[in-house]
Amino acid sequence: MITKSWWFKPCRTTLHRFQISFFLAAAATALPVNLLAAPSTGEIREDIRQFQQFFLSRFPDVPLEAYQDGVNALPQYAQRRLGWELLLEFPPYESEMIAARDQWQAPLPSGGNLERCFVGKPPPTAYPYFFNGETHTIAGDINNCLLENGAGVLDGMSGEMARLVAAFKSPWSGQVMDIDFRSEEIRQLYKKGRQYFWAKRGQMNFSCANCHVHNAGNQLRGDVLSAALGHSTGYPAYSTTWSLDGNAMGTLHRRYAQCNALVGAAPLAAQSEEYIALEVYQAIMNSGVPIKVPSQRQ
Amino acid sequence: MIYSTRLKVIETEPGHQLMCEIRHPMEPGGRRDKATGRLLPANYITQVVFRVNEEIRAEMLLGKYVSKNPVVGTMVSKLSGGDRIIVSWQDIAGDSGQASVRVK
Amino acid sequence: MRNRRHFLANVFRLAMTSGLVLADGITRVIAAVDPRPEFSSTEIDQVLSFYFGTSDAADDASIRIIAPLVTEQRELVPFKIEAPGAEKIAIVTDANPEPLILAMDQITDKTGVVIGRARLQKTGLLICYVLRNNVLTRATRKVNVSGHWQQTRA
Ligand code: HEC
Repeated sequence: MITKSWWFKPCRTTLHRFQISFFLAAAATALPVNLLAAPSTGEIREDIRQFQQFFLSRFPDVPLEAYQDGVNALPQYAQRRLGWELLLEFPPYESEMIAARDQWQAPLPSGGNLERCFVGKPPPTAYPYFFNGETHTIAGDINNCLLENGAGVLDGMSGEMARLVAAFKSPWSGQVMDIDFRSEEIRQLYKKGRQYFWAKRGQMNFSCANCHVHNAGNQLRGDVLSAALGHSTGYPAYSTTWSLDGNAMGTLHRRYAQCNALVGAAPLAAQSEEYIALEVYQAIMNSGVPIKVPSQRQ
Repeated sequence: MIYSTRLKVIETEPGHQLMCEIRHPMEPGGRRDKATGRLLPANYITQVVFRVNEEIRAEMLLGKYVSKNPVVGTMVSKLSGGDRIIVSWQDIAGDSGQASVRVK
Repeated sequence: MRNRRHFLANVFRLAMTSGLVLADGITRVIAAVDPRPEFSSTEIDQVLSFYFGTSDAADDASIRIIAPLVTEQRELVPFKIEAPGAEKIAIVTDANPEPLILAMDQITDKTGVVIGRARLQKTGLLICYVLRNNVLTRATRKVNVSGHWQQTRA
């Protein structure tokens, strides 16, 4: 039965080690950034292991690859999952993707197109990556390409950007996330993203982890909360809620902004340093989870 | 207005499933435009007809409680190669549309 | 039956197009009423009488309603009906002011499948009525509409 409680059930996990290590990590990163070195690759690997193990023990029947489906993967969502499966018999995102693929290959003012810009770039499962003194995100690279080819840049919150990112990612659906975090810059962003993820904010004083780690699978008013593991592997997504306003496809950063607003925190701009850091952190936590783009969300 | 119509023919058991999507607002009437505040007049699809080789196989009647960008469908007995499936619809504003698929 | 419906639909179309030039308030009045009586009825029994000519129906375990038990999204509730042998099918609900969502007739195949996506204004029953050999039967499934956090927040 549905309980309309809007407060959470207490977290029943016994994985204290996991939480303590993250508590320490969050506390440590609260110090001025330049005083502390970026976490080592070994530390990051240990973070990944603990993070994934936490969810795999919390939801023993959900295999790692299933986290690409977001909240649909969780047993607590079982009574709702059928709706999602029925929608996928004729997925609402298909028409959007037809438009997206056309736009991906459409000539830009210079004569080039986006598809050509991305030849030679790493696969989407390796984004974000550091190269030539810069951290690259897919949306960032799309805007660079548009600029270089005489077109205007797009807002990372827009449906158009979401469609283009999806056009790049969708042929790679099924491939697993695999981020190269050897560079100092990516590890610095990782640290920043990790702190952002575990720090409390907003009028409600909630961290991302409060909802998507400690309360993953629990009900929050009408919603069931997804596990943070798998976050981003389904994005850009087609959301029914977004579709009601005619702008159905949304990027990961649009979802971040929505989650900030949920707890009464000011949403940040798409492609802001904080959101890129968060994307880096989540992408690394998803190492080994296959992507599925686009996806259908409520 | 031109609203796009797409038709899918999916072979399953015991027959072929016909599904069509119409990118239509299905405006129920009485709602306001969020930007301008003006009332949006009702405009929804009232009828969808599935035909196989010109013969009507099912007619659907829709009202304002069918979702935006509706997907409706039915199942017909097994089709054979060369059969032509046509779906057609009309709404209360006088617009209509159709799509067709030939079975391979 | 068909002609009457087409006549009404045309009247409706005319009303709608002329309604556009009238004041907002009047448009609303016109827009709110569907001239097809089965769609404008506010009682399930009336819907059934208009559409099937009878409202007596017994429960029927052979009708299968496939729909989520719970949904966040009241604007898009997908469903699938399997009622082998059906000649006419109506899908109604007690969750909306006018119960009829979708109906299917002129069915020539025995599979009796209807696929659709509905708006449900609140938690309620999806009820499927099926006519076979002049006998009306029905099946029922409850759908809980939970609403999103954004929507339920006052
Ligand atoms: C008040 C609880 C709450 C907080 C805090 C919160 N979210 Fe969410 N988040 C939700 C809800 C509700 C959804 C929609 C249901 C779902 O998929 O979990 C959601 C969905 C998401 C999704 C989409 C998942 C998918 O696969 O569709 C991502 C990604 C996400 N949140 C990331 C974050 C991040 C990053 C933060 C911290 C900035 C955050 N959330 C903070 C409640 C929260």
